[in-house]
Amino acid sequence: MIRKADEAGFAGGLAGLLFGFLIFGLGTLLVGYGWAVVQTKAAVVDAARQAARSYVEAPDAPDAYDSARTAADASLSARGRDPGQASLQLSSGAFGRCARITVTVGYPAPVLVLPLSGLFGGSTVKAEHSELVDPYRSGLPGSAQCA
Amino acid sequence: MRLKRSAESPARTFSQARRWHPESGSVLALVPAGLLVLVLLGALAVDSAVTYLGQQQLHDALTAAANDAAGAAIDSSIFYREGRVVLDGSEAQTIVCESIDAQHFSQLRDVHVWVTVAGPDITVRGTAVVDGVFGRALPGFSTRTVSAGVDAVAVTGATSGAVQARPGAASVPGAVATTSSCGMP
Repeated sequence: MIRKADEAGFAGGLAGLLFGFLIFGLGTLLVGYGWAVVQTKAAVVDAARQAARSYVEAPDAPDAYDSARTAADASLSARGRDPGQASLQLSSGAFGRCARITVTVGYPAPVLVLPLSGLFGGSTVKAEHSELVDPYRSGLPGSAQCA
Repeated sequence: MRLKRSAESPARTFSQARRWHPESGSVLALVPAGLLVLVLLGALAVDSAVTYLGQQQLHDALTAAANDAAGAAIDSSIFYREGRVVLDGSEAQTIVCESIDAQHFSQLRDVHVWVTVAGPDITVRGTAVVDGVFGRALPGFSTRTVSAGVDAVAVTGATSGAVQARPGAASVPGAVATTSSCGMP
């Protein structure tokens, strides 16, 4: 009788323990995934800013995109990302005096493998940055119409 | 007699132990609670990182806006008449608001920007609201407000850029500061 009374509630305690470890495991996975996405977002935000800045400061139109690509690749590499997986596109605008350009950088989001439910994530993390080509800069034809 | 006492001793000792240590087995309840606290702390760290990222995005946007305004809002009539670089307050506000609007923030909302122009100096301050990732499940932790500020000055000559760090605007003697604001949802 004493032994039976001592084990009363053990199943509830064990279930609580297992449930706690389950929450801890899934929570750690989710928190780790969230952290990885935030780090990726920070990398693409910085890459977009560097790319847009390099684009508007390029000497001419043919070099502008290459300069932006080089800057974005360098920024992503500095944050431990593979530049080959990144996409860079000029969302709006064109190289020219007074032109407002917007650069979009995308990078694949990290994939989380959850037990019993397969893959989670797999989308692309994107960031945009917009800048204005200096109306009074040298090396460009035409006059500053926007100022 | 001695044998009987020794036979009763374990039961009595066990009974006394149960009375003296009533918290026996409480670890079964404490471990899940402790693990839950660890997960909540991890979620708090992620939300703090998101907030910091939002603040950096706001700062980058304000820097770009101030740079755009310092380059494109120069009052050309004063420059050609007096040779001084002075920013047009209303034009600077328009350019700043266009620049902020063009950033297409994905994480920031309720962005409010204040522009102060004094001579060649421009100060752009802004606030925005950042939505939490895990914090939105907890009342009171769903959003956080971030703020940033940038000072810039329009200069001429062989400088590397138009934006320079300044402790504050309105550093030109006699310059009158004009303040305006814009916001977007």
